Amino acid sequence: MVADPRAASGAGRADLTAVGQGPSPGRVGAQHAAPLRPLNQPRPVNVEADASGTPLTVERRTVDAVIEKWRIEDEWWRPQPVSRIYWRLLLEDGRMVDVYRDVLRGRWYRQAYAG
Amino acid sequence: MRPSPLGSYVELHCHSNFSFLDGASHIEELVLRAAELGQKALALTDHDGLHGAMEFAQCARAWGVRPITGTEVTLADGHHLTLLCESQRGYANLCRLLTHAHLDHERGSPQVEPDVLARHAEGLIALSGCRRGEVPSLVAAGCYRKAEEAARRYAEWFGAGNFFIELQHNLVYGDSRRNRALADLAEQIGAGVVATGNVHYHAQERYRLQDVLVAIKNRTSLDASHRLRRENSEFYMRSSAEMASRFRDQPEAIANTERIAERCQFDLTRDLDYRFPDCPVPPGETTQSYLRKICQREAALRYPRFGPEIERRLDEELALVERHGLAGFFLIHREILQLAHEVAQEVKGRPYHGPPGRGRGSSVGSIICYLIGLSHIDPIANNLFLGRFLNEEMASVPDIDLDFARDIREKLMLRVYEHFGGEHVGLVATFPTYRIRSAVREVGKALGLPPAELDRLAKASDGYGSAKEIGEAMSRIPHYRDKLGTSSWRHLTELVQEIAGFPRHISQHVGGMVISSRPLVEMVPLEQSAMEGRVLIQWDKDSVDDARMIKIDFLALGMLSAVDECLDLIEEQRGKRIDLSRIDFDDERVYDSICEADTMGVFQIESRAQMQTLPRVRPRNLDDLTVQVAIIRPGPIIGGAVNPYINRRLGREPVTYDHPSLEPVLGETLGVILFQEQVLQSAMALSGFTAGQAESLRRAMSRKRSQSAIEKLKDEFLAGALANGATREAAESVYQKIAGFAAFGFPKSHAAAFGLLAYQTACLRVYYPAESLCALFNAQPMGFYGPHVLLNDGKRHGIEVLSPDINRSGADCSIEPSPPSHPALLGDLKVAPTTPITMGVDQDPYPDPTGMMTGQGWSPDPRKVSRVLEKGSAEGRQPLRRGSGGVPQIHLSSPGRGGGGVDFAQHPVRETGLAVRIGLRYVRGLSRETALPVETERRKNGDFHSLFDFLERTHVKREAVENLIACGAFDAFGLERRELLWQLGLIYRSEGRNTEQRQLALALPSGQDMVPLRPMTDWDRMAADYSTLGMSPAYHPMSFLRSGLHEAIVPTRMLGSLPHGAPVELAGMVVVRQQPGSAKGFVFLLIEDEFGLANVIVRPDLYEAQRSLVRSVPFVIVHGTLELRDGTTNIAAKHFTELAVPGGLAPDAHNFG
Repeated sequence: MVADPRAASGAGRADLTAVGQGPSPGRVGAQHAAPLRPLNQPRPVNVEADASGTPLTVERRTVDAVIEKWRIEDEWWRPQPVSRIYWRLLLEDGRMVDVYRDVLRGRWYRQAYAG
Repeated sequence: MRPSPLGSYVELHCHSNFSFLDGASHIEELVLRAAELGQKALALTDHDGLHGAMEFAQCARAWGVRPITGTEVTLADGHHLTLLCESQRGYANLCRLLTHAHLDHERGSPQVEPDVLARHAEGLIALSGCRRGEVPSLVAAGCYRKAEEAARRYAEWFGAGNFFIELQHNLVYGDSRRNRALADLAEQIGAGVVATGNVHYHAQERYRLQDVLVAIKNRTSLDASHRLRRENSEFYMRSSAEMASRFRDQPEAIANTERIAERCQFDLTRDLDYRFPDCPVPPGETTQSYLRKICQREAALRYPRFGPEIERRLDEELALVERHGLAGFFLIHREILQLAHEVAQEVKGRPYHGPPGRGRGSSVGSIICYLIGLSHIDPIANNLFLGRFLNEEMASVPDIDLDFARDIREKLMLRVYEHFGGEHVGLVATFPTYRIRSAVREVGKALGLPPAELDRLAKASDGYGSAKEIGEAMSRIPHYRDKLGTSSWRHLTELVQEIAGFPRHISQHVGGMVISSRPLVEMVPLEQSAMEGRVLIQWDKDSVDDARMIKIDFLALGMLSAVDECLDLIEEQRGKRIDLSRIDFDDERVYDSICEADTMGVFQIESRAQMQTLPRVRPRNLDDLTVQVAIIRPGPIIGGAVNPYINRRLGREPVTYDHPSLEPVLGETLGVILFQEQVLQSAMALSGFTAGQAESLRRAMSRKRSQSAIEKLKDEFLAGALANGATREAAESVYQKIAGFAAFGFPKSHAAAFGLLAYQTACLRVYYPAESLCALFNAQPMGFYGPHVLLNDGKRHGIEVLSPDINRSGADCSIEPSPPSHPALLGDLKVAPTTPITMGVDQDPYPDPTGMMTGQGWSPDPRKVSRVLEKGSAEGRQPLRRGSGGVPQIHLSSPGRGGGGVDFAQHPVRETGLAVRIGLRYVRGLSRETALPVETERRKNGDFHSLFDFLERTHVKREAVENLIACGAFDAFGLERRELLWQLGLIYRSEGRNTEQRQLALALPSGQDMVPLRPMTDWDRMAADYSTLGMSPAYHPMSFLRSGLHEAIVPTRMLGSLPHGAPVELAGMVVVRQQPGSAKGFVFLLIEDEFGLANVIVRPDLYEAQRSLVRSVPFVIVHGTLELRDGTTNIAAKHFTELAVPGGLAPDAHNFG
């Protein structure tokens, strides 16, 4: 099949805003990215995960349930490729958070994903 | 929840690269991965076609994975649906659906109408599809009611148990939610759920290539295709454990994969019910008895002494035919040949004698083929074996290729279509694949690399080379060598290697047709060809072969058109038709010319590489010619057979065998593999392969695909060889030779057919040179050389070539008696040009004072040669003997012997005295369509009296008339060409704008309108010839340029008299440029001067350094070293300089590779 344009709609993908990649505004998907949303900048977050990579705690709060897991890969042809595994998690305090693991750098970030 | 045990998941949704730019793995890679993962079955579901289905079925079978045939169709509303074949009925329906999708819609946008889908649902299992399926996309959009309606509709069409809700989880945002909703829906309507992987590549790392393909498909770059690409790298083939874990909430979806797979028992390798059409036979006969009767009748005619040997052979073949049920097959071929005969008569407009076509390939080894007129070689007399064509085990139907003259072929294919009916006939497809140049350009563009750089790299790469050699190509060129380290160029090299061999699109195979008694549309989908009105089947020749379908190749062989025409011309001139099957095949004169590489225009043995080997191999009979045809092929060249064969033939190295068991197989060819059947025989002899195994090995090797199938067979081969007592080295060595050879080699019988035609054309060329040349002109474009090169060669052989003449030329070139002043006798070869010209050739400045041009044992000091040149000579013109590089001299002392041949003895060559008149359609601006009316008008109402008369009586456009004047077609009226052009201008001026007017307003311009004009010089005329005809009948450019050249520059005919290693400078016109893929970057030029041709070898580094000059400059001076070896002459180039030519004269060169 051809990649579904709906699934790849700008809203979901625009959030690939650079993190840990130095300031290079407008770099990501330069022609298609929705406007940067500074409020949704990824922020490093403290996550504990099991051997398979499934988060157990986020900022010391226990994960009650995994709501959704998805993956993004892009820009592998550029100097700073994007490869992230996102988790939408229900925490013990009833809050829902989106975190991702930067696969190439092995770090966790928190970022709301507008799907 | 525990994952299900290994092996329980079967992938039912998988794309290969036959989804064309969507799917980033070869079929074989997918199959191998599935086998590795322990999957019992696999479905291939490419988009809208079964292009790869047969290859997949064969490959999967070979690796122990059960193949399931399927496809992902596009519906009329753009939605996708996955279809799998449960039964043969389902398969036939799928073929009909896909044929409808392609033939009833615009080319390139296949789609299936809902009502058609509903009518052809039987025997198919439908899965609801990927994210673009109707049900999943409605669910994802939250339209649950509509989704349910849609799902119920499908369930109704396909039947309750035959429609499944497809669940895909590729870690794309939204997958989990959609799958939960889909599962709910399934439960609600009582449909099963099934998990699929929507596989687009076998291994995760291929996602990069998949992204690149999306960019290529949308003609854009990766940067600009953000929204079109898939989200991640999760569309790879997963293990059962991984799938089970991903669908741990839906174990039923996993279990159903296996259940569905169990139901899909249709097997393309087994269940395709193909039948060749029956052939009507007289009452009381069976096809077998009728075939026998025909053969016996013919045998009695053809063999005056019908002996036991012939009878035994015929019985043996008929027994095999009976065993394999092939009698109808032969009778159909006979029927087609009869159709061909009718077509030939229509095309020629008169009774057609002789064969309308001829067989090639392994069929030539069969006596039945000989007797029913398929082949023209007597297999008994020529000692040909049935071998590959018919044998006991026969993995596939025999292969018959038929060569026809071009005009006959086109009409015949249509006639076959009409004869058997459109539903029953289809053209075989071919899938052009990515090669290095296309891969570099398209992948590079996707990566956003600079187009100019890509273009340069693409051009520097060998056009036909495998894209796998990209690294080698780049490291050869300093400019790119440095780039190899940078990341984007590294991506390029990696991706180009990955995309190597990917099919790009479907296209038409040259002339292969499949005929079937059951409607073809139930056996393979049909689609439109790019050419209007032609219908292709979705399979290439390998798939057709695997399907055991009978493919008949209708090939157009330009040389057959030429031979046909040549025989017509000879008949016209001499009133006698030559039967080429009954000529003397041991004529010394013919072999002399061949051994001297005097073969320009001779079928198969005219190329540069052939001319280089002819003087070394020195063929003296048809067997030798068979070898000669076979040896200059990529197979023997890559297999490293050429030099060993020649050295052994010349006694320079002993004949050895890698293993004693090979002696009986390779003895005939001095221990090397030259013929395709020797591949089989060697494998059988050394490793104990059965004929069937050996045939699998050959087939695997000769195909573009199946690298790993080859590896598997290799292991078996090596094991067998070791068990037979061969050493590891010997086994590897034989394997390498076989592998190197397998791609492109001729079977012996095919080489024999071609060798025969080579002999026949050589014979015609020796005895009927003018008719031969004329026929070659009329059959252009064909062969290795452009018309102007053939013309100059003809002139060097004393053939008069005359400029077009408005009162003598027909539309085509024709033969007429030589003008009295130019007796053109073979054996009295004259120096071109033949008409006196003003510059420097009245006295031949390069006489041959000592006969040194025969080059025998005389090695002059080069300085002495230049002294001879300085002195010049007044001895007058010497007969030209061709002493140029690679085209050694002919000595024509032996009179025409004819050797008992039926016809040649009666036509001693010296009576020839014929000239070739160039046809009007050769003049730029005229075509056959516009030139024919001129010929007709003249025949009807007599010669043209003047330019004015011509204009009045014909419709030729002004520009074409100017060209006719410029090339001398009106010279016979006694006016200078410039005067005629002036006249033409006056006539048109007086006519004003009213050019449509037939009755010209003004009579002939009177004297007062004329002005004195400077006559054209010879150079002007020559330049006009080249610009209007592409060649000059009277002049060679170098004869004008010679006087301005430095004295150290030698003419080609001096080369033979210089010693090996002598430094030489030579000037000429580049007529052929060649960069063979097998030559590791070497480039070969053929340079022509007024005396002959010289071969120039350009090393890769020199080519790099002077690339633009070598590639494009029409006249060059080459500085280099002379290399003489076994009668061949080459110049190893060290440096080139451009030879500036006034007026930008640039005759066409043929560029190869």
